[in-house]
Amino acid sequence: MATEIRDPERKRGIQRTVIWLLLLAATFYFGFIAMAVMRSH
Amino acid sequence: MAHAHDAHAAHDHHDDHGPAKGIGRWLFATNHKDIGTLYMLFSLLMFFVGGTMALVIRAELFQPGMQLVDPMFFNQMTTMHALIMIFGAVMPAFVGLANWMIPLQVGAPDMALPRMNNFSFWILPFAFTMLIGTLFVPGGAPAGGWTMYPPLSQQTGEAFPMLIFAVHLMGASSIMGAINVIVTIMNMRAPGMSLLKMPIFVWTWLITAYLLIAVMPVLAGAVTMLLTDHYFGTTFFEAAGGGDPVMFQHIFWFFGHPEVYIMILPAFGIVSEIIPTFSRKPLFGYDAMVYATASIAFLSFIVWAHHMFTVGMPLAGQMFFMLATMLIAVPTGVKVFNWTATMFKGSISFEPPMLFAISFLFLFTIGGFSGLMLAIVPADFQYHDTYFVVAHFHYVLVPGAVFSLMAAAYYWLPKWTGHMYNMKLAKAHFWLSTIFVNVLFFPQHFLGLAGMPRRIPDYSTQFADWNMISSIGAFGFGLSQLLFVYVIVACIRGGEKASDKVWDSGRPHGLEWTLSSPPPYHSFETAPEVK
Ligand code: HEM
Ligand SMILES: [Cu+2]
Repeated sequence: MATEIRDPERKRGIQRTVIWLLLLAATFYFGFIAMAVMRSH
Repeated sequence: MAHAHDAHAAHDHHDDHGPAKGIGRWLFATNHKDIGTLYMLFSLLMFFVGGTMALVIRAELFQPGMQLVDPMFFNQMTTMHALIMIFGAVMPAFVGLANWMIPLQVGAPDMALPRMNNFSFWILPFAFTMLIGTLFVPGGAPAGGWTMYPPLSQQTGEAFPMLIFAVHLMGASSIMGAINVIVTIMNMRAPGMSLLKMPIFVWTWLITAYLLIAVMPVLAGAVTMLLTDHYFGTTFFEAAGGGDPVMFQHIFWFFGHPEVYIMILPAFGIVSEIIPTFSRKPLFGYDAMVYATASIAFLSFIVWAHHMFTVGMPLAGQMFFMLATMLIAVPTGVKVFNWTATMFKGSISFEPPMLFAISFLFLFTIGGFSGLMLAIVPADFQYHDTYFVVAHFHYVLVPGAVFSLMAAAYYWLPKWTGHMYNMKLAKAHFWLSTIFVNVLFFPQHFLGLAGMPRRIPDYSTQFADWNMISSIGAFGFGLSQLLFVYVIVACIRGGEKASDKVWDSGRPHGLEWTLSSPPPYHSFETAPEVK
């Protein structure tokens, strides 16, 4: 159904971008909770 | 960048070339156009749900005294109206446009992650069914404001966990949508389309998507902590346990201010596409537009405490946040200048998209000016939590963000459906909207300056006249939107055939106009070459 991306190089590029972006999002989520934890002892 | 043969490999193995039949086409949609359509229809529905709540608010405020609803329900209406409009109407509309237009504008066959795309859309009906469902649980819907400040928000009844879960779901949906946008733009552009050759709408969405990925997790973190404070004995925001309620406000606005730019940067992109087309000139200062967008995005991270001046902070903090906020006027001014310069000596025509874009230019600027007034610390002590703030953010959001969405719909609708729409009715919709939006929101400046507080169901009698006028404007504006729906539905069902270029007498620019109207089911089977 979905448009498949078969070119391995482009596929790797996409996977790399996704992983970096997920890491960025996780950093902000856990980072802000960690800051709040540190402030409230 | 992509090579020509990659793009070939991407489509050589297609096993189907048309949409699936029946409801399955929508439930299992992976096609960027189908998903774009779903997002936009969902958004339109939420506009009417949120709009109805606004009319309940304005009906109660038509006269001083309590007439129609009790105060608790009134507060549920203000809270739900804001949540539904921001997360259900404005944001999904822009994501829908991104889905439809980004692959067409960068010359890609589809979004890079089509299955995740399906997931990120279908989360939304669940989230909003749950959120709207809170109206029917004991204790009623959330009523502490869309900002969810504790300790007030901790007094929410059975709706509390539903609210938190709904916000988490909206956040997850937005983050997935943003990842899809970035991945598509970074990996799926046609050969030859370097970053600084991308259409400006693509640029503004790329930057917006980064804002989303940075701040939606912050909102999620904030509401996670509200949840643990409520059920698991933490005291992040509870003074009694050594926590700090003001910390919530800092975290919330670290999300909240970039969020308002999430709702306006794609609007800037749309207006930057439309004005050149109908001025028959290229966009003035393309590079400057890109850098201005990036500067606004950067600055949006260091101004959050302008929402909290009256909470109390050191003088140095007040100065910093005041001046940083005012700095945003510089790149915003660059944009307004460039739009004006694009029109200067152009051969301008006034089709509905251009009318909405010009109206945006004037009325958004009014909202920008009232924003500058609010940024002045001593003045904000007077204006904060009054109707002046309500007037400010409605000017930037309604004739700002929402008008840009209407401009976009009138600009690309013939491309999407293959039909022209009824120009007369669209222009009538434009004039009614522009007149009533000012009748609705301009008097709220006067009310705020005279001291009428926001989020109240009753007011003292000196505020009666302007409130009545504002309410009349609200009903006029709300009813006018039925015309919008009629024009859209009629256009989907038929009408004069649109050409590929649609605006033949104008100067439309970009890859989307090289495809047929409507475009083929798989957008670019062969990647176009961009020179
Ligand atoms: C020219 C740039 C802008 C400036 C200087 C500015 C400044 C401000 C300030 C100082 C406040 C806080 C007022 C108070 O609560 O006392 C505020 C509130 C607000 N602004 Fe803006 N603003 C600008 C643009 C925008 C844009 C583009 C949007 C949205 C598209 C926006 C949406 C809002 C919203 C929603 C609120 C109220 C939030 C709430 O308390 O519920 N603003 N603005
Ligand atoms: Cu702000």
